[in-house]
Amino acid sequence: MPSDPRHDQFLRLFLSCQPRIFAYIRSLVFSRADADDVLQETALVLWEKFDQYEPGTHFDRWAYRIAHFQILAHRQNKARDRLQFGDHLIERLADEMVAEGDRHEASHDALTQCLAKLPEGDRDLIRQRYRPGGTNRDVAQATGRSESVISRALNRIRTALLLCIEGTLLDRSAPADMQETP
Amino acid sequence: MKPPSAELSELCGAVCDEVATPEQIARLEDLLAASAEARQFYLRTMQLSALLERYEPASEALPFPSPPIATRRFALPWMALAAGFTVLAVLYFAGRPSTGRAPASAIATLLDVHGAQLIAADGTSTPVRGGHRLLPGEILATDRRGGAVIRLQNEETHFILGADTRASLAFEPSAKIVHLAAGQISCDVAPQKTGTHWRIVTAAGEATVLGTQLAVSIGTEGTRVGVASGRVRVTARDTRESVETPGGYSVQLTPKTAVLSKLPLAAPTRLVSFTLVNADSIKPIGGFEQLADGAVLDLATLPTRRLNIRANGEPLIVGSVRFELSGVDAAGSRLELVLSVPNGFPNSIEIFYPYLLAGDPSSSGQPLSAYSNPWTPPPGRYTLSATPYAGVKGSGARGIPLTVRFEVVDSAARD
Repeated sequence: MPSDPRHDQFLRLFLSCQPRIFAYIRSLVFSRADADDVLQETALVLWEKFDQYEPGTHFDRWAYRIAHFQILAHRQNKARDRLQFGDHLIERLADEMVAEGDRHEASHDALTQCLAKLPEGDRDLIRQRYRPGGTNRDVAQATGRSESVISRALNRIRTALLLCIEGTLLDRSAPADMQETP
Repeated sequence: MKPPSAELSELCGAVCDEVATPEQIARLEDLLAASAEARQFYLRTMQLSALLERYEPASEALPFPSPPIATRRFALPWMALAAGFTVLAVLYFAGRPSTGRAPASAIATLLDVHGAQLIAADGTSTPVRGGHRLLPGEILATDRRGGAVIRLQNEETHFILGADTRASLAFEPSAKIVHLAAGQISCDVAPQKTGTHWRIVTAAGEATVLGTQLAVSIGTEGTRVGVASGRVRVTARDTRESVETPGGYSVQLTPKTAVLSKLPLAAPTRLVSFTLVNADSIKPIGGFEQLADGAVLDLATLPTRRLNIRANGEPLIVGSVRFELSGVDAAGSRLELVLSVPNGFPNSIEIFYPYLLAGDPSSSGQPLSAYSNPWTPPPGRYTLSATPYAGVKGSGARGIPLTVRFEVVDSAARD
């Protein structure tokens, strides 16, 4: 079967920004499963409306906008859910998330370095928690510790990772002469 | 970025880990509304979590877990088929672009899951939660107190796995198959396109579903197929002896025989107790873990007036539970019990565990909610009955119901 150039183009564009779009959705939708659903809906709408996309313009900005509408629709469906932020905060977070630009891709590279710097025990906790379907409760059971201890440990490790990623990105963006020691 | 306060770190962590309470969300919202730094920390924490949830190491130096090996069996020459692909298939692949791993589309969603794991082809197991999208060939195993409800994509077919059960789903060109290796499965099968059937396959043979509701269980004496309604063709593995089994009958199946008998009258499921719960947390209220017949609930002394009542089944997960509630006030006049919930109240049918009188906001295919619809009963005397059913939406074999009478008073109102 011959390849459809339009479909290939969509694939290339979508693949390039899909992790960013998922991170955007995940920041505004608390449940991982819900975020997966919203991502799926977003991809469907993007494909359905791909005729409206103007080649050469920012696909990711268009995708963010579509994802945002899907998030709003999802929130409307779960209007009675008390586990969500108010509309005003959602709009604000969405704007600030888009303003972060392509930080996501750089963060992925930095994360690999920062994970390698973690003590083995901490890395193992992260590995257990983020294995498919993993929960704090699973980790607590596997390690024989309480869920609250695991939660605190994960918070500590995540903060350490964030600060490490931050430092790594700053180092990369610093001018070359500032990185050299006298 | 400055290190966050301990409170902000804890609240963001709770959101990442999907354990945040409504109170924590409200507090986090206050902190985020007040501080740009807090918002930045929150967004970066969530981005980190998203990265870790889909983390694919660039090298083998830091091995992170791979999805179940079963997903690799469904390799497709996807680029060659690009023009014909659905976006859903594209999306699955897009989620893992760097690995070259094969795509597989989910064929079902796990609705209620307790005490269940996914078993990979190498024998390793992974705990699984509600909302998981089941792939073809993924083996779902429940423990001795576990259970799971599987809803198929694109059709109103449900499979309810009992305790100690091991099963997987597969699609073939002319059939959709449940491989049942152990335990019990109840099936509520929607009408199929002509020529397509669901087949429940065990070591002793198979049941081809021609109609709607049935239960298949594996015991020491072979496989038993009970048909609640519709028709099922049951076939022995070796002899291919076949019995068309109507509703109300069962077949005892071995590799060589298929023997028809009338279904015993004994109900397969029952309700064992009711629990008064805090509607906002679905946690039991102390002293009312088992709502006794004749219990008196004083609204003034309960920790909350936002209440709900949970029906506890045996097994824990049944097909559905139908509630009936009536009450009279102190003068003996019938109470108008009104609550705007999706399935209506009272007399509501709960499909998903936990089975709550006033229901919860979870809808079909969504993960379970951490809270439920609040109900504050007006003072009066009540009779509450609930009946379990083997099938969803009050269908299938009717189980043993439970009835309790209780009184609601409000000593604060009297003072």
